[in-house]
Amino acid sequence: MIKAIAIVFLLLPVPAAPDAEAGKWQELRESLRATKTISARFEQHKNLKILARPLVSKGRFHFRAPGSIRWEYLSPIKAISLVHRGNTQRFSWVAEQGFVKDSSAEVEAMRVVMDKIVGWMSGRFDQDPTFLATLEPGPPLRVILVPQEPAIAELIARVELRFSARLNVVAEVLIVENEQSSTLIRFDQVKLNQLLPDRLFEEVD
Amino acid sequence: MKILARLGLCLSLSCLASCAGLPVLLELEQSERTQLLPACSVVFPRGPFRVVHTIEISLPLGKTTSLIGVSVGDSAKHTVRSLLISPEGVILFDATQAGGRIQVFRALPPLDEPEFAQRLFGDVGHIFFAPKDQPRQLGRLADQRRVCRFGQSGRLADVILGTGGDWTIRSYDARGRVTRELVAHPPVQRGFARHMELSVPGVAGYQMRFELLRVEDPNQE
Repeated sequence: MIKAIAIVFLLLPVPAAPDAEAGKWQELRESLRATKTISARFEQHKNLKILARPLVSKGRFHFRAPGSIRWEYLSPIKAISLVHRGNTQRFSWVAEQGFVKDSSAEVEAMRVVMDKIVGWMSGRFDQDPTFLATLEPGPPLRVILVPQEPAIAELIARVELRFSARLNVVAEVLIVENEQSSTLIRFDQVKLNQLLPDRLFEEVD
Repeated sequence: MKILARLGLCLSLSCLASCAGLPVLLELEQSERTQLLPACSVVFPRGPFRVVHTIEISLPLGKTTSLIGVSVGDSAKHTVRSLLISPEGVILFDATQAGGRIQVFRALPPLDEPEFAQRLFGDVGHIFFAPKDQPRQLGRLADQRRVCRFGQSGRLADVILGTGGDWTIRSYDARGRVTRELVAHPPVQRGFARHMELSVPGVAGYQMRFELLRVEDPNQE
């Protein structure tokens, strides 16, 4: 009987020891800190229960530590968000006018989102009280972020960051809004630690 | 007396201006009348539909924004669920209209004003729902475009068929002023125009440019 109980216990999945988890967190943070710049293409799949197929958007992503981002949608709608030196700007494409700067209300919403992305890209998962971060060792290693503020939890159930094998870059981001809607952003053609000039984060063209 | 005369003149001019909004329809031959009614109904989807557009919205004071619009509905039942999604994939607005009743599931500021849902479903109905009644008049405009005129006095709508496969759906208020106008351009994919422009005139008016992204089979899982 004792032998049977022992076998059952041996077959149960063993939770990662706190020390092992702390080690993984440390390894992830150090790998991300070594990444100074990221340039990548991305494909965004918006999955809606009411549609048979996802809505697919494509674009480019550039990041430069400590806090510069260019998040650019190329299709089906052109839009650019720029973060640089603490300043956030958003531009929408208007036919016959080109890129037009968005109003302050839209920029404010984007600034909040961009602040989170900058933090996550830099490995600062536990410094944001609005999300509780847990680590799933994988592979792929995943960080699950669950909103702690009711206002955010109403919009997002969880965010899942899936990391590359070398843990130096986010390979995929899954944003689950609810059981009817989720967004998967997949990065490819990733180039790390290349020189990215200021103008990439300051100008739309 | 002078004031009354001026007031009368103003009212007359005002009436002339407003009444001029409702175009006069010229008579059609009987054979043209027979063909026209089915042609007018083709501009609206029949039964269930599931369609995705990009929408460029131009608001007063030069403000413009672009969104993705998803509409899933049944034109025979006049029911529809409409979503507005930002380029970043955030659902800004999600609501249904059934039997004239609107239920909002999500509306993020500034789309959370009560009038917004009302206006949006007014636009959606104008584009996708055929008038329930038979047309009260069939005719031709001075520029030769053929017209099916629907509705009752005070709430009229013209479906105007162009010669190049384009069509216009125009609503009028009780004074004959245009309240909404949709212009749709070919090519047409499974009954949906590739390009459409919706105009709502007035001080708080706006324009919307629609580009068809895709039409899904409403029965596909």
